[in-house]
Amino acid sequence: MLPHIGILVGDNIMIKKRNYVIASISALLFVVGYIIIKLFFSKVPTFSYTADWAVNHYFLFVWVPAILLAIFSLPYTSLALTIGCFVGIVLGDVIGQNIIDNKWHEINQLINNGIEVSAETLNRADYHNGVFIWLGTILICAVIGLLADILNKRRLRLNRN
Amino acid sequence: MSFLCKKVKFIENRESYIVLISSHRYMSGTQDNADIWRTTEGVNEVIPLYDLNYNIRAYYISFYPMGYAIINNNLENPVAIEFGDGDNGPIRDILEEATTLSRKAEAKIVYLGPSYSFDDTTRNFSRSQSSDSELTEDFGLEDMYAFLDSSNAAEKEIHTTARALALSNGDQSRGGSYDFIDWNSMPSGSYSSDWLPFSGTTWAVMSNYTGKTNPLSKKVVNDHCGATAATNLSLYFATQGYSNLKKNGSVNDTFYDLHNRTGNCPVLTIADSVSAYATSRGYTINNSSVSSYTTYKTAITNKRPCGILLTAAVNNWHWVVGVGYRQYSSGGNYVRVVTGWENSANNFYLWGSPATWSISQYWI
Repeated sequence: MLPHIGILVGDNIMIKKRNYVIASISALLFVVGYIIIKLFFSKVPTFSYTADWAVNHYFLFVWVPAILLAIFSLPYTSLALTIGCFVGIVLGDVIGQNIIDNKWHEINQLINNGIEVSAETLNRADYHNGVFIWLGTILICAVIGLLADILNKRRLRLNRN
Repeated sequence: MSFLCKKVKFIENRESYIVLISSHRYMSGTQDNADIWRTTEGVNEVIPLYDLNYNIRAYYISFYPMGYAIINNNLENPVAIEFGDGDNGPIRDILEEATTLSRKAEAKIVYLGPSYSFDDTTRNFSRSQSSDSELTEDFGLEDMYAFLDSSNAAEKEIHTTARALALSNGDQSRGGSYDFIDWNSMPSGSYSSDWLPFSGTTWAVMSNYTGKTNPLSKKVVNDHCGATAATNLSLYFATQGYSNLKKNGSVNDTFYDLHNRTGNCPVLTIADSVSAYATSRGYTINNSSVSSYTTYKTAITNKRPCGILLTAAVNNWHWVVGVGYRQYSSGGNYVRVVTGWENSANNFYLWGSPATWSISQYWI
């Protein structure tokens, strides 16, 4: 019994250490990401929307659950949230601008064919979906991370048994 | 854009209309935020400018009381060769002399660049007596013409967009996910109505700022309906006697200050930005939420504009300013709004469609 308990306690300590390391990595990534985006990215035209918006709104405090989830033994979800945040910013800006370009291409084709386009359509063609793409990416990554954590816990339970 | 729209409707000549569109793009602060366009009130004339082979190389357009532009005659590259708040001296001299001699219609202006043009029908300017090859070499015409003849896809697309916007303004009809309805398309039937005394208000229009750099924040303006609505709220109060709310007497300056506070959308609230801006201008603007059509009508009756956040889909939000209402005896409740998409307060939407996220009334 004693060695078994000792191993269990030892495992828990290891896991707790790992969790804090992951929490620290997440925190560090957010801090470094904030600085880099604030200083450089938001001045780059391609990233002048989503990156700038995300930073100005402090990543909508996604870093809070990212850090807390790591501490409370959901490391994959934590990492997924962190990675999803930054991947989402890139996707948001790139895809968002792509969507705008495609909309204007369609509109120009309509106009060149003599078809009238409403003022609402013209104005909304410039609407950037970057923030929504960013949020969507975070959500998808969170779900993936959560699934990974559930599967990992199940695997650990099976190994102990 | 409203002067542009009016002039587009009255210019029969296709070339003149294209020249007007390009002029607006360059003169409305695109390059350096120096908005020359807002000082223009009308068009004096649009005159073709020729090259040494008697092809129309460009068009000269002059405005009253001030301003001019020279637009490349190439739809693949409709750039402004030059523009400013003054005039092109050599061209103005030629036109004045031709007018004095009652031969303005015959003048054929050869344009060799910003510093020199001559009337080819008289050739009485000393340099104009040089040979074509000498002029070509002296003024670097080969390089200049090569540039002007080239294709510029980005410029062409911007011009086409501007042309589309100019054509669409004022001809809005029902459609789109917000289902805004212009005055002329509203349902018939008896109704009661009221609106704010906004006569004389020049409204901020989103398309005038899209893609430009805010000189205060150095950020690119994009998705700025919140800032536009906040600006329009301030501009309304400015016409009600609180003139300092129109910063420097300029719609643009007011917009950029408010955009610096709100940032780009999505923004869920503009009340704090409006309040802070008003404080910075020496006023106190109060606000409170509006929860029903009855309360909204009361706000309008009390001459209080409303900032309204509409949502047509999860990723489709838009700020407008409520300036009136129309309530039909048959039951249709409509809100009269400034959409921010044109300089007009003559659009309506049906209360509840699109859905409203929030409404706040504002007063001083």
